[in-house]
Amino acid sequence: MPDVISTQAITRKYGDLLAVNQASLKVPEARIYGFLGPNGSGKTTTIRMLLGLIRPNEGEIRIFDKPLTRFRIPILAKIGALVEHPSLYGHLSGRDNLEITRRLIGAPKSRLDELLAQTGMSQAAGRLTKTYSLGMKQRLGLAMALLNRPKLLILDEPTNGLDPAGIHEMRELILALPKETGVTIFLSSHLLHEVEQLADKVGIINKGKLLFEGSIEELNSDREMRLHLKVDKPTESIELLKSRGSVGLGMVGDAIELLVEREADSAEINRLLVESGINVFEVRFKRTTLEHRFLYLTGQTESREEK
Amino acid sequence: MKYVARAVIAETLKLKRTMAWWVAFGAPLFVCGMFLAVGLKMNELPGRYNGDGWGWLISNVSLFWSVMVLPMIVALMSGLLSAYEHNSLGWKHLFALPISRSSIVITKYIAHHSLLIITSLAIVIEICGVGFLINAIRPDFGFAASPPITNIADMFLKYYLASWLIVALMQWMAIYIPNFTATLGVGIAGTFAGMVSATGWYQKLWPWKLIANTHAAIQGVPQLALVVGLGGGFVCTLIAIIHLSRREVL
Repeated sequence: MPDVISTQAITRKYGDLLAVNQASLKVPEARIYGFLGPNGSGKTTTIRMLLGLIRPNEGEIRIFDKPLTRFRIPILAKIGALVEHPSLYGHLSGRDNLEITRRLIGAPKSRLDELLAQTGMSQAAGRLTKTYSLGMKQRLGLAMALLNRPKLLILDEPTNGLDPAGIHEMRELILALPKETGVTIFLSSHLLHEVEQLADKVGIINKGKLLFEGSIEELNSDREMRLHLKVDKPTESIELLKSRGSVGLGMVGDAIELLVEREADSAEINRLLVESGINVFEVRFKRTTLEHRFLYLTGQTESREEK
Repeated sequence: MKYVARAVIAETLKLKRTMAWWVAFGAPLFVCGMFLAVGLKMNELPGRYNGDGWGWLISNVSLFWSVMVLPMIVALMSGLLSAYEHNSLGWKHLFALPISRSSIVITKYIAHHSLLIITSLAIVIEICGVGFLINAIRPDFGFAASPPITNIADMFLKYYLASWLIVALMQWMAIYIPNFTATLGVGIAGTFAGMVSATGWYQKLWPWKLIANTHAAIQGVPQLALVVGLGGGFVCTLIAIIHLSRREVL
């Protein structure tokens, strides 16, 4: 099955600034793809290129297995998008705003009520959008993006600025869509936990470079496990563990830490120390969180913190 | 054409509750209201109108309209038709839709020209209305004859046609630069620069002056104003459509 989005080494510069650098994305069908990166990492620039709003300086974008440059209109006919904040005319009602997009794309009129209900905006549809909260604007923006029954939905930071209840509602909506409609969702976010909760596949970008692309499981499997030990004879213990062949050994405060491959190693190490006459007061695992894995990948932290 | 038709239908809804309608109908009303007030005091005016009320009214309204009001309407319309797209970040949304980009830009020009045609029709009708009203109140002021409707219509049609060049330039600028004040500023500066008496090419070709030049008493100037205004406007509109359709939305 071909990927819904496939980019080949796309690069985009703004003067001397390299906003996106040789990014090659592969977005599979009917999945939620989380496009993760800190603010200013190149997410929105990538999305703008995917929507044909700006052109890459190098590389090619294929969507639905067709080059975007040659098939812009037929490709966009299958895409719904919400880029940054929704574009709403404040002097018009929510329904009018939706109606404008409907007229532009030639969608059936019956879609209006359907989408207003689906996004929970039926009650507020008659109000001017300048009176809407950000959450309501985002929901209406999502309704606009869904008007053409898209096969690909591109959402740029859809929960930005929403309160916790709004974030929850938006997440529920996004999660339900692929199941109900089979739509592929390309979702950008700077929030790891959001992507972790929603996405099947993740792309991590920083300073324009795609640093990781794979499933959440693959991202998880790459995490380190460290064993944290408190003993009465640390120097002797370290020598003993060195002779065992342990790696990543070191003192952290008054405790010893070392890298282990699996949880069963802790029992073996504990037995070794006790049998050598060393009292063990504390044995616990410290695992790098996904968040620190993300921060490490994006160069936002030097060390790998633990929980 | 399918996309242009869709975009035009959508644009009519966008215009709801905008100042564009107030400008289209309000400007002719303001001008005619002003000349109604002055016209009712015609007998106190210096100079003679020789009993030709219609002549006095048409010459004064047309001068005011062609030199100042129509160029200012163009500046205002350009800014207003683009402002709601800039304010709502609408270009980004519109250019990501499955319609041709040129249809979106063409629609802005269609909307602008439609509103100018409406305002031109309104001023023609309202001039007649002012004459009838003055005649009803003061039958001795020279409005007893039928209004020279063909002459009035011809005059304001030419003003509209000669305005194509400034419509093309101002709308281009208003779409490209997301700043209503800048558009209005250029419109005001262009209008006032057109009021300065000058000679040579400036007198004949200054875009904001072309409208008034359609009825200038200098030989060849009215024809030149129409050719440059309409022809230049058409060419400039085409270039603007190509440029604006190809630009990137950052």
